[in-house]
Amino acid sequence: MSDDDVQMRKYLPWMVWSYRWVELYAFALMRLFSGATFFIHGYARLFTDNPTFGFNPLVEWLTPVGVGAIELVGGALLVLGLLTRPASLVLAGLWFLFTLGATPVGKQHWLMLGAFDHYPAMLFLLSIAFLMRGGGRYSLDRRIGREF
Amino acid sequence: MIIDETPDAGAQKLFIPALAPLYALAAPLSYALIRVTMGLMFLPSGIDKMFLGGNARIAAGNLTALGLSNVVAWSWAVAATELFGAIFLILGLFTRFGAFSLVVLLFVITFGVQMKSGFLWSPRGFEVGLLMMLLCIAICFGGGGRFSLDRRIGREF
Repeated sequence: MSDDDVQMRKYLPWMVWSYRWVELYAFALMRLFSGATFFIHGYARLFTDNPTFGFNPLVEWLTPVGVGAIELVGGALLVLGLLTRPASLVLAGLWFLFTLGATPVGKQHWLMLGAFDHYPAMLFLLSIAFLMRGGGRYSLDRRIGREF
Repeated sequence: MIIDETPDAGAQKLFIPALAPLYALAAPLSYALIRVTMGLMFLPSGIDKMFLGGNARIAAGNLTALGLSNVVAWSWAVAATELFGAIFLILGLFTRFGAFSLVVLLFVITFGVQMKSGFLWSPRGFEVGLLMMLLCIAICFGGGGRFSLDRRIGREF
């Protein structure tokens, strides 16, 4: 096909068995794991007694039901790889607000805080990656043959 | 054939065909974006633990709570794993090795430290460690990808 077909020499050739059979699925797995996370967020916001976790003033106008619906539906679509780009675009917008509105803790610079404080930014960047890529090789979008 | 990065213009009919050139440009970068993002998630923690005294904090805190002996040695191991793991992921150098080290670290963080706070990230639950671990596992599967030093060098783990 193209330069994805290159053969790489291995430092540990005997380790190849451990990933050869899943190598092709790496990106689809990323989409699956991220989508499942969004889906569980949505479920927690809509159906449990903690609908406003992680909220900040910038997302309050969307209400817990709105945010929950976006995450539940968007997460499910990401898992399936259906309408991947529109779903990622909406999720990216949502988590951009979560990232911007995150309040800095203490005097330390936001960028030097730990993984918990960067988590909204991580989910934002993941959504951007799926927006750039679309469904990919193992998605309903590909099966259907049309996508945004 | 390696991971799914080829911009397959033509394989897929687009609802908005005008966007095809943009996708052809952006799609191959998406895997690298996730790899670099994961590296950047660890970089501040790695710098903090290695140079700003964070390792003493985890030695007295989480590592003692885990019941480890010789917590100081473990704290330096954690600091080195996070700092070098982050650098390896960002550069795409020894990608599978770096990602696998972080998977081991994140397994302990997820199930040893964060588990007791529940799932959700806002009360500091384990979804953060879990998602990062799963993404690092996917990076172990996929390797560095097209935009990595591994690919430039032509050798990888």
